[in-house]
Amino acid sequence: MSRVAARVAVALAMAAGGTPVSAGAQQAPPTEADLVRRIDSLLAAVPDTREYERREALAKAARREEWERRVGVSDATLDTVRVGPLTVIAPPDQLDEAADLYRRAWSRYAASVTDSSVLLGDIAFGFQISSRGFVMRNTDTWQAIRVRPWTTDVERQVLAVGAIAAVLGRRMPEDLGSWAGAVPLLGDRPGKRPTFRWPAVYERAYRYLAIQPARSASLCFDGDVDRCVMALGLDEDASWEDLYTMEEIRALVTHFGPARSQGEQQERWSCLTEGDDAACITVVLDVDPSASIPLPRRVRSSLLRYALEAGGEGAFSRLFSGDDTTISERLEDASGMGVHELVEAWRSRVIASRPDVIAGMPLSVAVALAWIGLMSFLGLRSTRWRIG
Amino acid sequence: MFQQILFTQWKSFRLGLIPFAVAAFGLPLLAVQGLGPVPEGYEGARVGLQFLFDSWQFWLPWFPALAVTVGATAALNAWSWDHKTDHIYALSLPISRPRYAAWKMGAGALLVVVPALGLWLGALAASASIDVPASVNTYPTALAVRFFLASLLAYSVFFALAAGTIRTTVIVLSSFAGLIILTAVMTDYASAVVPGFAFDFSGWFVESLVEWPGPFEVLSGNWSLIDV
Repeated sequence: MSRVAARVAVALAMAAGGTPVSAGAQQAPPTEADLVRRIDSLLAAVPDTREYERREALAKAARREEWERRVGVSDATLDTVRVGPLTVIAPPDQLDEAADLYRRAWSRYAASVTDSSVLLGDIAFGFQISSRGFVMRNTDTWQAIRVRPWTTDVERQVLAVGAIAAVLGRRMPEDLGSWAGAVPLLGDRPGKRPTFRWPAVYERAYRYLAIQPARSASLCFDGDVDRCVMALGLDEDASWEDLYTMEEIRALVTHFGPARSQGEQQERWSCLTEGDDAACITVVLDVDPSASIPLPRRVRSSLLRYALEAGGEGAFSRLFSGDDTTISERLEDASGMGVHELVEAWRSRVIASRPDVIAGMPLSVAVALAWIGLMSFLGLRSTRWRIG
Repeated sequence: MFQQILFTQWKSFRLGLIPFAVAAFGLPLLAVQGLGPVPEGYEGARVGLQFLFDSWQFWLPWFPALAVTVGATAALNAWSWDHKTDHIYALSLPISRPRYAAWKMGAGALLVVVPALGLWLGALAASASIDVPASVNTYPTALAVRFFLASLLAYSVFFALAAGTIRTTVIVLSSFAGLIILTAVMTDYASAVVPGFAFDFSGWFVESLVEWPGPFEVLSGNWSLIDV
């Protein structure tokens, strides 16, 4: 507890538990100096907080030292290597692997990040393999990857690409970050299967586009690029009527949870029973403001990724440059295409990525039947009829 | 002979089959509840559909769980009378043991068709009860096939276990559980002790079981009734 907090606590205790004073025997209220004097006199009974904090700091340092001793790695024993513009830090015996990992990851971003010193800043990229514990952690100046010895190379690559994306994300303009969520992972996904950290981006975008409950999204799915631009939140002039039908908005309101206030309840009543369209929009804006952009961030992020991949050299740098730039302009700058052209190309890419739901079914059936056959064979072979 | 074995299994299992068939029929209907048919010009189905996709995660585990329960119950039921009577009746039959077991297995497998049929009809009814946009399809048959295969797989595994002695069953199940624990321990221990060791035994073991071409891949696949 700090000294100030202790004073506040004591003052509150005095206010709550002070001796009641009758109306007839009122005294002059204590001055601030009186209160400070009383508090200081009470604080004599409280242990010296500065001493406590000093001891805590010592104990923390000791615990850290003990931890580093057990792990076998300390900040002092870490080594550093340059990989392009990246500063990579790792235990000496893991430095080569760290460098190779970050080299491969950086190759995905190198062309599109031309002013790396600005976008990456002074952040160091850490790497540590351990089965006992880690000294690496993410801080303002570190972006660390911590893996187990058995973590696969694919997963390590995903983590390294993610670390670079995370660092770039720190420099992401606020409006863009709010629109897209995060810096996308660039390049082909390592390994055959999607992972939690690296899903099948365009397949997922297809699913969202196919089911998103907004007229603009369904028209986008059907090929109306103007509506795609609206559904992605890139047309500032789009009205609610352009994005949704009123029936869709009412359906959204119906699916919201319980009203949080009487006023909101009244608005919902007006919306759902009296046909008040303005009340419906008020409720949606109040409960789920993100509905003003029908396609969710995961879909928008796939457009951002497409723009960066299409933009090639310097795409990131162009995306992040400029202060009074709209998101449409940022995407145009990054991709080198007009926003309609970009969205049209992105839509084609997404539509071409339709997941084939039953593609693996025949193989799955064949394998299941083979296992069923094997188990059945074992079942027919085993017996309790052995007598004697 | 097969008809008689089928009849005895049906007799002992029919009361158990009814709730399974009802559950299998009702599960897809429960999963799409609230969507309903949509009046002309009303676009609310897409909203409901989005919520359906979101809530499918809740219903998803119930389909394979029901399939495994159906298969396991049918398998244990197939051998229950033999175990109760110490196989005396079976030994008195003028047929070989493999043929007897094969008929018994076939009879049980036929009974597993009933809940699978229930699920197929339920999935068809669920698909027919909702209006989905053109961008989305329903897969009632694929879901029913997956359910049937999962039931059959569980049936064959438990049938094989129940066909042996209790000792064999205990050894197999204990070995399986022990292997899972051992692989987890080995991964941690070996990587700490052996320099340069980097192999995830437990991850590999679990992956081998639930991913293609593992035996339980059918349980971990796509169980969606409605998808793009």
